[in-house]
Amino acid sequence: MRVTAAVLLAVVFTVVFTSIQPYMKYDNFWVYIWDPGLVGLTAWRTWMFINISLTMLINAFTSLVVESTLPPILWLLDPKLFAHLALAEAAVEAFIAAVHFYPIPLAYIIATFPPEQLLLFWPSIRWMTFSYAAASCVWSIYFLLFQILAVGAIVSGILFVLKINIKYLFSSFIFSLSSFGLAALTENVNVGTPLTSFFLTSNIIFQQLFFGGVTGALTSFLMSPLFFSALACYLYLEVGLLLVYISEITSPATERGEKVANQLKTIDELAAASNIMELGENVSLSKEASDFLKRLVEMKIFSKPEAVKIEVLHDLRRLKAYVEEVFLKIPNSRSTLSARDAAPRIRPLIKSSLTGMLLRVGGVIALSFICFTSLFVLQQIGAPLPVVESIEVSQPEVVLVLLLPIVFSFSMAATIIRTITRSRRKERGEGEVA
Amino acid sequence: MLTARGGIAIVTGIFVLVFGFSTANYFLVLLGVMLTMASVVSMPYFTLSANFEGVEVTRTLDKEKVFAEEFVHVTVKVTNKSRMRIDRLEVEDGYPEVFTLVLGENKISTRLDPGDEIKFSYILQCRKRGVHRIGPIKLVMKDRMGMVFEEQEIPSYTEILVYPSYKDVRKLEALGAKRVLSRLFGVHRTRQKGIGVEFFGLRDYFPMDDFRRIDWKATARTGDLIVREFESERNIKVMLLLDCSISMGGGLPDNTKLDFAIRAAVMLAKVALERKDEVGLAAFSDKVYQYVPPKPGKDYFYKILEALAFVEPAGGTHMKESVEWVIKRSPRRMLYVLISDLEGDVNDIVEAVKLIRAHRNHLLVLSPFGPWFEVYPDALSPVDRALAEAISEELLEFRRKVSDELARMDVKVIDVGPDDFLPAIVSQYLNAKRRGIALR
Repeated sequence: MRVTAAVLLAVVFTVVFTSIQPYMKYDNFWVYIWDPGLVGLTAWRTWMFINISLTMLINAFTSLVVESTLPPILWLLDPKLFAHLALAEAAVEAFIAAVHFYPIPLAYIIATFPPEQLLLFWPSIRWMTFSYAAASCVWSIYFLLFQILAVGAIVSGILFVLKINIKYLFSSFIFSLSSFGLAALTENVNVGTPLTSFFLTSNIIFQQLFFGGVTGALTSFLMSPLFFSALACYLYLEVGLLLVYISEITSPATERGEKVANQLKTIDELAAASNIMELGENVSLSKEASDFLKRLVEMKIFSKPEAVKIEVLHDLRRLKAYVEEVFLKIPNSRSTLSARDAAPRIRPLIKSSLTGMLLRVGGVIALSFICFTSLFVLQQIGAPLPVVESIEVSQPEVVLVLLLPIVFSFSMAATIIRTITRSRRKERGEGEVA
Repeated sequence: MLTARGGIAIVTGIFVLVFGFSTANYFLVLLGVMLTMASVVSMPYFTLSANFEGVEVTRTLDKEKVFAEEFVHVTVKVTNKSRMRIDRLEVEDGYPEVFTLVLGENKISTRLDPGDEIKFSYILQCRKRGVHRIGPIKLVMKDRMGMVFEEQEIPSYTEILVYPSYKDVRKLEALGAKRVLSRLFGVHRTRQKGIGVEFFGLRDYFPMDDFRRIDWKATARTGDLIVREFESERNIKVMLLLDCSISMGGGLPDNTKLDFAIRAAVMLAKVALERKDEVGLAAFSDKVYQYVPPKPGKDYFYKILEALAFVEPAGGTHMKESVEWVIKRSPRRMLYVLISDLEGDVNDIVEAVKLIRAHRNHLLVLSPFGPWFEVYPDALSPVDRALAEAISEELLEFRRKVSDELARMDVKVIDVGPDDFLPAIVSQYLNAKRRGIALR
């Protein structure tokens, strides 16, 4: 089962992460987002952006401080003091900019603009540089998220195969599908055409049904790459939940047995140490024993504190004697305490689980196919011509026409059965009382 | 009904479906359809097969009467009598809050094929006296995927009678076996045979005492001549009058005045019955709630314990009426041991005592003093401690008044607190017995 889950996990990852064909436009060429170098690039750009932001902030703060602390006499000495200060700030910023990454090199700035004009154009250069740094940083992080999601999905998937815990199952599933959500946010990421084809629209299936009959249409449906991809993802969840079920049914017996064995060991340890502890001496206890003793002491919180521990130790000795008596007098008491025999047999469990899973999967596939034949069904039930020939019927959203009724039918059927069963039980109960 | 897991599955399916539509991603559309279908496809079949009537759950206890602080082993058997397989069944057996689960677990999650049976057990510690019910049993059935469930509670209860705690008697027996109480309380075992009377205790030598009664070991230990004292063969009748009015419920949980009174009653009943005295019990407040006529026999102890198990604090104190009721039904010349906090009407108390004395009975009063039971002085702030002391003074003053009234009738009142070692109370009874009062 674990091997099957691992294989399905690999298929899901392959389907999802290879179907995303993202390209990142950078300086007129495309970069593949699975490139591991993206991590370093993102880190560098993030650092640059922070650097630029801090530089601008510090400069603005410095100029504010300088202007506010300049002695007034300097304004008398140099009427163009403000302009000269601004020039000095720009020069400093340009110098610092040259040390870091700016798209426009310092030499170019100095060569292109005379000092008087530098002051005029510097603000737009400055903000252009800042916005460029911000944009490239955000884009890098955006593309890096795909890698993060992929890593998250792989790690969760591996943890699920190892630990069979439902939260890892769901998290790996969600991480995988989130890539599609992320790709849909921009136009820079393309998702593979097989997943976006109109192949499974209702009118195409309708044509299949018309020409090839139900068998033909069903075969086309089942053989489509879209169906295989979706089935792989669904089967991953189905097999995963089955593994979780088997684990939840079989592991409690093992865990319970271990827990009871630990409890008995703790009681033996405490009973043996109780004589010494009653004299007030310290005894080194295991963590389980200390926690167990603490729990029993806290139960007697309203008794006088110094007497509580002694009382609890007496209780533990009596408990040990009682447990030994129970094991002697009541047959199979050891196995009932650990519920060893309550664990289900593995072979019938797996056999019935696999049979049930196949039936469920078959039912889901059949019902999914029916949802995609909405147009055919509408025609068969004699829906009005304006409905059958409308444009909306050719849209993919038409699957909802049958999906919603099917979902509600199942729920209603379950509710009706439950109501009938309960009323019959109530009648039987009242009849017995009478 | 949908479980949390089923809800998440259906919401995820719908979300994926809607997202698929909005981004024209038909892989997501198909996946959304599949997830939504998977959440509901097994609902009707599961609801049809979730047959709780086919599940039989039985519970057995290793004992149905147990002392407080003792243990009980509970075994639960679950059988699937239907022809349908139960993929996932969770069984949880309820137990009273005043019990503690000390070993094992009271629940199990399993799968049952038709005709299958499983057993599990656990051990509880019964912490409080009274009649308690173990149960009910909660059953939860889920489908294999864990997406839908049905639950039912079976009102199946097993009653268990918890006697008052035996720990004080156990302590007394342990100390007696260690010969620690030899000089104080007379609970001393001797290997002396042939005298025909039961050994009672040790005392100093008086002139004219029989030399054969000298205990040489005790003499060598103390340096003074010590003789063994033997108990008279004549036994007495003892009636324990237990005040269970609402004021007796005061005090810390698990150590109220009533709890203490019951412990004293258990101790006295045990010691007296062991000494072949006749012991009875009357628990009263505004009327007599429990009455056990005085009878001898070690087995009678359990009858008294059963009566004590049902005692709860309720009602005001109508001592005279209750005592009148008891006296009419009880023989004369008894030793009455009244265990009451004496917080009722002084006149009522005095009239009750007069009534007891008028019928040639003897009376010993053990009175749990309220403030000593309420809170530990160490736990109070200085202001609260001063207030508590003021209230205690007032109550003491009242108590003194009552004691003075009773002393005029030659009735001794012994004030006790929660930490007073119960054998001290037993010694009062043994002294009274030694003086040969209330003879049969």
